[in-house]
Amino acid sequence: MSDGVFIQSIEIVDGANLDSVVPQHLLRDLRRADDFIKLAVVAADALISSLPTESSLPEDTGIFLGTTTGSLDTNFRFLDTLLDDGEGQSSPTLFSHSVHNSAAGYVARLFNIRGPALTVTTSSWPFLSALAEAQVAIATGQLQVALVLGVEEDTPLIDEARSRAMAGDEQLAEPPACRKGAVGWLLVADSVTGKNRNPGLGTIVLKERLVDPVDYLIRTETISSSTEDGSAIGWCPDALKVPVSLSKAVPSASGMNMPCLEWSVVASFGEARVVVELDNDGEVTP
Amino acid sequence: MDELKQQLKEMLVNEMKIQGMTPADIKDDEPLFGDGLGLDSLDAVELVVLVNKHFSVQIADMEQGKEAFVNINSLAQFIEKNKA
Amino acid sequence: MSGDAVAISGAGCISAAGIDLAAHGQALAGKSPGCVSVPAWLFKTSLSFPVFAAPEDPLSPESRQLLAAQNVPDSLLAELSRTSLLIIEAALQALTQANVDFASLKSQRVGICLGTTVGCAFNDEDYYRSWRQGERPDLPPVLRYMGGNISSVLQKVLSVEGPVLVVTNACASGTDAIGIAKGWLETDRCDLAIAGGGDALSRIAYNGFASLMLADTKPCRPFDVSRQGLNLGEGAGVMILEKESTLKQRGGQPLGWVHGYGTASDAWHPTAPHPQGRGLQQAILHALKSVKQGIAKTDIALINAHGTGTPSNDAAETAAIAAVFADGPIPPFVSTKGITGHTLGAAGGLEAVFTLLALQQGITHGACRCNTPDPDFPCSPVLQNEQVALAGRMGISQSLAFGGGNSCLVLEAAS
Repeated sequence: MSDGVFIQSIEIVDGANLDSVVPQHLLRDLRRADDFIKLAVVAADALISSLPTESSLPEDTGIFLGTTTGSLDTNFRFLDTLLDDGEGQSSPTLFSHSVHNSAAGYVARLFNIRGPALTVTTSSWPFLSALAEAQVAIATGQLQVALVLGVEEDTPLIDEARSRAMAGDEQLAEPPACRKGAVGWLLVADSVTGKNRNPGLGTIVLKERLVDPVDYLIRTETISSSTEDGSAIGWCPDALKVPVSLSKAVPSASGMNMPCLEWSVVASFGEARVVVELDNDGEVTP
Repeated sequence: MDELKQQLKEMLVNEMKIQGMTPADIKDDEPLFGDGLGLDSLDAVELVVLVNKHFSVQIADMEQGKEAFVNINSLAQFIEKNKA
Repeated sequence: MSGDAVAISGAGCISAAGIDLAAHGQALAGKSPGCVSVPAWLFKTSLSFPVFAAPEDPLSPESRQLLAAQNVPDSLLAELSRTSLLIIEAALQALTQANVDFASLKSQRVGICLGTTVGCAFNDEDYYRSWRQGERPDLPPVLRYMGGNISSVLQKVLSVEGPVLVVTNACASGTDAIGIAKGWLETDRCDLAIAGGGDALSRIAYNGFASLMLADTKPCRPFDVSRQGLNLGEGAGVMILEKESTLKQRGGQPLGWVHGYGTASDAWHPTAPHPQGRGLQQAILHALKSVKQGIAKTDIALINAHGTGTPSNDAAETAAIAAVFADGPIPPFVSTKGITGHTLGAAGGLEAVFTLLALQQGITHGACRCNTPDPDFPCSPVLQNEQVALAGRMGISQSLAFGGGNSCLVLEAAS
């Protein structure tokens, strides 16, 4: 049995103005949350708001979150309490929030989502891995809806080390201000039809394989080079550039009435190819 | 004792990130957990660390903690009684 | 048995219970070293919570020989985290038991799906301490961290290709990793999967659990009325999974099968489980429902429970077990964390292996140090000095995690 996997909506969250985009009614629930968690919640909130007002999330809704480093910043702030205040005096709140899956836990709790919540990391594109798991879960009928999130947050220690590694012994200027952001995709089973979904962006078929190492490039088969280049976006962490690029390519292609987007990314550690059949038959419902 | 209570209220607002309240808004007899201020079990263990850090008073286990943490009054009394 | 079943062709493990599968089998019967004060070679601490430490050198002589024969240089191994070494040891044991030819691995799609918590954190306190003071320490700790994804490391050491993933679902990671790998095989994403979990003891996690007041200064007593908390442990548990048809084609026999997997969220609290374990109930029901050939609750002969020994976990878990099995007999259940401690990301991997071992043995010994069950529980585990002959060869291994995740595997041992 194989159900189509429909992209209901895509959100990109710029972390630079995070506090201004956190929904007011969630502030109390987010009082202990760090920026990483807030990014995930803001993305999830925007995705869920894109559903038609009459429908709510079905019981079999899953959360899939991919991140390269999790909230390293919170990890370091916990270490600060350990180093400053001593053993037995470290902050339990910071420790529990530094675990990678705390963000998915918040999304589950704040939006009352009781299905699977999976947090994954890879050394390449964890968002795409999360997308692959979500796509399969829907295609095989385990889920009807999936929130797929990619959340990344730079941290000064890693930024500084990276700059130093690249520059060698030269004295460096200040590393850039920490960047953070999130992308979110709402996937819905094709069999969920009619008034339970809005016209969206297309169905997705995801392939992944490893090839011989080549230079990093992003190639889209059917989109012209006028697509915005991720590196021009100041707020976007390096690890999020690929998810952001794909997250822009899909609605862009859809808006141009392309029938199909074949998007791929190749890097030293492998290649990923995403094929999206774009939805151009749906009428716009009010 | 009043100064201690004020310190505790400031600690709650600033370090426990209670939303939408100033220290002055917290009543001495308002329940800290459950329906009052709305703290939960994770806040309770954080409070244990903060009480030790700011007042050098250790809470051995959550049985002890439960009694001390009822409200600002009980917390202030507990600290007064157990200060070194 | 359908030829499509996901078979277990090998298993490997290392923890405080011992250096290999045989040692873990004996540990189930009560012969295991137990917990200790934190060894100096692990880290220095002023706290007195005991831990379950694995051997100082995770790699056995046999494993080192295997690695040398595959031309994996010592210099590479020297750079790896303790978590990676524990994983490699368990994986090599499992591959050896599965009679997997290393050369043939290179021509297959090999999936690697592993759970961890400590293994993906930045743990180098010395680097951080210097760096935050404004010093600029030498970079190797950061480079190690950036290159330290445990599944990628194993992929590199084995020199294989295929999907790789690290699951960071806290204490349920190992269970989830095995469930995901099962899915990979069923959707033909790989020909063979190496799945499980690993975690090393870390001063950071040790302090974290201490500050959460979840750790016990005495040896843990899962499900016992006197329980006061968990003891941390370390190790790795890994299984080799293949389609049964593939396994038989290469002349192998299954040790058992992974028949089902389910996972669900409490949506309740960042660290505490739902008091009735509502997410765990759903996870168990989904796991049972996912078994292709159909399964009745009465087919479950054993539950390897999460059983950390914290007041709240054990209460929630017994509530969930009683609720799920309310319409019939409750299967015998035990926790093996009295033997290994709570190994975090490794727990799901180690406990899947323990479940398989017990089902193979056809008997379960009682939960270590559970002498007096909590009278408030709706059901009781098998007690320390009891033994129960198992009524069948199907069992469940389940995990509850921070963030409210709950996961469950349905496993069967071959006769």
